[in-house]
Amino acid sequence: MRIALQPAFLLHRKPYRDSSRIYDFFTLEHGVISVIAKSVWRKEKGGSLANLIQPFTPLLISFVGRASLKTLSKVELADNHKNFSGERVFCALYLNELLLKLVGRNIPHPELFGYYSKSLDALKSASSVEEPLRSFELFLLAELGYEIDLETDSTGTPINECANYLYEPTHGFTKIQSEIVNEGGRYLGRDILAMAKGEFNGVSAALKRLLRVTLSYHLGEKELQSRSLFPSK
Amino acid sequence: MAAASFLFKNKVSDISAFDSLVSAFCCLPGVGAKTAQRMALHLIERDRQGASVLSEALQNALKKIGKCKLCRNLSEGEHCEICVDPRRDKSLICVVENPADVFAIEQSGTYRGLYFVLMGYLSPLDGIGPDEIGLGDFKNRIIEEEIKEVILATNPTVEGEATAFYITKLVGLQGIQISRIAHGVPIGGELEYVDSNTLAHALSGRRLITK
Repeated sequence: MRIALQPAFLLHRKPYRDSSRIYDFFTLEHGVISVIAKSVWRKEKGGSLANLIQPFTPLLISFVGRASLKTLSKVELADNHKNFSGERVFCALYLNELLLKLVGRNIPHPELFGYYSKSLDALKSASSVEEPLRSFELFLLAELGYEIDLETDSTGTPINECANYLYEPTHGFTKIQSEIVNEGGRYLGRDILAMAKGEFNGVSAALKRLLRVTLSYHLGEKELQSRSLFPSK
Repeated sequence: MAAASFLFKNKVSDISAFDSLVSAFCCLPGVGAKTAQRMALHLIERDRQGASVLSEALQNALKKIGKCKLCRNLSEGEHCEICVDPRRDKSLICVVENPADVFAIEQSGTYRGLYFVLMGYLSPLDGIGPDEIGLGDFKNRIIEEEIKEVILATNPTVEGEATAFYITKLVGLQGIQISRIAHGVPIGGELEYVDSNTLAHALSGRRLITK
């Protein structure tokens, strides 16, 4: 199988032997794939492969192979490198870690690919990183079939603005009588409805909590390491 | 050794000492079964003296070489030669990823300060966090010693930049000057052969030569 000029982003790389590397790419039509590249330090016009293949750079990659590990044949730059300043690079690495740990190999997710690219741009330019991060997490869960139902509770009744709810990743929202909200798995009905409308401003802490619980449920035993880079949070 | 012996479905020879020598060579990066066999044959057949020098040197190195307590670089004693050298500028500290980077900077002959070797870079995807690259030790050193400038010489990769940024945040509070090595076109290079990311860096980091 020979694939030419496939739009791709680098997620992760590991050295292999002296001058080879194994790259994990997120591609438009083939999803997350592993590709081996040989002689990555060989000088070529426009820089060696190792120079060229950097995370957050839109690439066009050509590769061959039927097995799960493909062989890289050619790489071109599709656009300029997205330079992240300061802390935002940690956020962008977090997106990569989510993709690597949650998305199955060799399954195409073209819409997620587009959303990832847009999210990187948003992370670069947005005034706060919260919104692009949360929307990416929601989109990722929906794309993988684990969408959080923000409109109805576990019995199928629409979420009531004035009621309080308990959230469990396996069941979704369940109406509760308790007055204690906004801690543990408890959420306000009106916060949930705001999340459903995409109004993240007032509810960012609650949404972060909700997504953290859901993501860690789906990640199982795998832990997200990128979070260790944010000591203050 | 287990991984190496897996490479040999059939035994190479009937001599078990030779087999174990061949599989021992397989621990070197880039050395497979065939290369290991060639190395072993060369040492045993043609260069027995070289082999005994090699084995002594290896033993000796293993016994003597450890890590410097100050800079984490490879060292024979508790502290490495660079850290104890009185001619070195003790107010300058250069942060690099690997001992190989120290050798490279030393070869350039232009730097007279101290080093701190991270032995890696921040890479959450590989499970390498701030503690694994000794940033706790680094912070203590910054506080205890009279350091005026920290030079961040991590590689210009995304992970290297992330590491540099993390250290900037760590050191920034101490009121110490922090600088980053320049990225640009290599000496003797041709613009045509430079990748566009590097060129972009070279242009954005350009220097005024007339005012």
